[in-house]
Amino acid sequence: MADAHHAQLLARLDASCRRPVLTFLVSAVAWLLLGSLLALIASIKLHSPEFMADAEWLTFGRVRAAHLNAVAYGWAAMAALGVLLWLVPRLTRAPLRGPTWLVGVGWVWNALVTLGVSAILAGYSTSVEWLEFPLPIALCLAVCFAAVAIAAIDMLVRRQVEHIYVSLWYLTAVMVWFPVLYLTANIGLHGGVLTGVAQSMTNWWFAHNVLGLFVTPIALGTLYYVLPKVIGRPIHSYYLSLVGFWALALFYNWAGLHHLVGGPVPMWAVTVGIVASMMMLIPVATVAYNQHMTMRGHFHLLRTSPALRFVVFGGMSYFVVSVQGSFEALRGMSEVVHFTQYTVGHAHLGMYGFFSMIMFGAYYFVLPRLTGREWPSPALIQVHFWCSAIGIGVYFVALTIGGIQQGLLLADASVPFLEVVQATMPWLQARSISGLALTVAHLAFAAGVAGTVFGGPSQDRAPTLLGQPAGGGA
Amino acid sequence: MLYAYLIVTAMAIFASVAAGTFAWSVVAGQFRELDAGARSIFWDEPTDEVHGG
Amino acid sequence: MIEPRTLLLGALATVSFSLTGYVLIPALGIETEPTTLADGSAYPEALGESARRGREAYRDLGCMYCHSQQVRPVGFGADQERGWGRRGSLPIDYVGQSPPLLGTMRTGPDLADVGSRQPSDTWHLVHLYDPQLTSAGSNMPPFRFLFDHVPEPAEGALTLPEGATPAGVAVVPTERALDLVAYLKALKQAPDVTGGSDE
Repeated sequence: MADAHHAQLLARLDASCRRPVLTFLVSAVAWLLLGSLLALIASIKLHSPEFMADAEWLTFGRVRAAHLNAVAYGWAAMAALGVLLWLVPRLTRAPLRGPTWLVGVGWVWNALVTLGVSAILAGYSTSVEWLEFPLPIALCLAVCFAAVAIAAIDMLVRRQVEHIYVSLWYLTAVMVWFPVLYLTANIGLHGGVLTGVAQSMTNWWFAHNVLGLFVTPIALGTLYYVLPKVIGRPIHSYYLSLVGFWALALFYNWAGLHHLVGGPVPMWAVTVGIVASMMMLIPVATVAYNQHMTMRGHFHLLRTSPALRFVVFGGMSYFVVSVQGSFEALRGMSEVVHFTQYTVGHAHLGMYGFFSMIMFGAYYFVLPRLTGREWPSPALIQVHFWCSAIGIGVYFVALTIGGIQQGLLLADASVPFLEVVQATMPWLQARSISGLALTVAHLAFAAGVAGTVFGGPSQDRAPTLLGQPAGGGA
Repeated sequence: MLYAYLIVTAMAIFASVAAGTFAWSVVAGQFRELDAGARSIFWDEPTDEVHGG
Repeated sequence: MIEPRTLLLGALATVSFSLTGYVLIPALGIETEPTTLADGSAYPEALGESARRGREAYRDLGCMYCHSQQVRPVGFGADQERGWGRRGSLPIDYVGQSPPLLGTMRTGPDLADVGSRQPSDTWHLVHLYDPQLTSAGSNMPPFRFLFDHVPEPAEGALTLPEGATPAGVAVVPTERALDLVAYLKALKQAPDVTGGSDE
């Protein structure tokens, strides 16, 4: 099908989005590295409180928030928007308009996240989880997001295709969801509109929806694109993928209030949050079933294709983390694990094992197509994959076991509090070690990205695969 | 709890309408159109080989 | 097939639906004015000047990331058995707070009622200066940067155990440390407030 006309169109699409996509994707990697450093500092402090204790700006409460915002608004958002700006032209066959503007938006975004993270370290955090940036910075970020959203919707309107592919549904919906969430939450909380527990409810409506209505749809849209493309076979049940979309749109919106189970908020809201969390099993099952059935007979490709390996790992984590999340929302489970490290393990399985792994896969797929250069070294990719996979595995297992233990001890009033603290120590130390593994993974990834983006003139060589494809193809 | 009942009911109605719409679209033959849609992403590259990266 | 307009409006509809439930209804329905207790006093009481500044220190240092400020009801965890409060927290406890510092972690104990169980200034100051002195084995970071180290003798110096500081050095709390302690001491639940957490 890739005839001359299509080849020409493809070249035009790639040329239109190359600079903004690279700006976002490369910046995201820089934030990933900084975020890893902040994470390591925070993690070490939690079991060795004297570590850098006299630096006020690096006290645990600040460095933890700085880590979250650097990885959420630096790494995750920039990677997501970079991948989105690459996917939308391919899916609509409409070239991106205003690429130079969007390069500028990328740089302003970097400046804003730098300001925001610095503000947190300097003591200007709002202390509202996921919304720590001061209001002026948040409003400017919203404007930047709007610029990306306008560019994306503009391509959708000018699309040269009859059909809107499922990935595009997810990506387009985010263009509506995130601005509504981000503006409502920031103005409601920091703009003096809401007070008291109404703020807490809006806070968790927002914070859970950042995951559900921003990073999840972008990761799923990417999965529904990369998976069929790499194995050369369409989604097993396309119909089901669309049912999954609307189920996610409907239920995820309401799941956030499970963060306040047992808290001082109206009971009805928590109940709705729990019901919606259980309902999420429906869209999650559609994705898992579709991924498995599409992959069936092609699992051997996981040995050779880096993009596929990362994306499938992410898809599997999505299933695990979502099912875990649904049950975690139940009152009985929440009673034990709510205020413990268990939640931290769950959050990282979602943001890292699911979202970040899919984004890594997308990088492996997108960058060679965009730069005309292949990944410099299969060995670097192997280091990246295994350090990431083992790192997040150890992280999750350590904090899950440690968190359950912590929760059970907390629920037993005869155990002195400081004994509970001591019981978490080995698990927190294991977490620091897993953090080291993840940092090594990110360094290998960054080296690969640098080689691909800033390497010599583009070569015309075969894709960098991890070993010989079975059957001697490619 | 009134709100909980109202919202959960609304979610159920919403979900039923969505399910019904999809059922109808299958009966009306839109299913096949969708299936063609699933292949629409293959326009830019051949489908019969493993793409690296 | 599905038009972009249907998609965009559908997405807008789902998020507006939850926005109505989780933002608008609480904004209109949850009390925003203090109540009057049986003895005629207003609850919650407004923070004093020093405690108000202390709350800002609590916020800017991120204490909230390790300490919750919400007591769970009897039968749901062991909060009250641990002495963290005398009743489950209610929306009225947070009236006027911006932001409410409910917290999501209990790396350290809950502080919703810490002013009732720990009324000593000295204990709080020593604990902030070096948590190991009052709570051996704690993983709370020391907040030494909230204290001045000056040559002895100094007015307002903390009485610390032998060996906690080098000889001849006195530890004097800064204004910020005193404000923070004023805030912690102001964190008290009024026990006899009624009111449903249900609407």
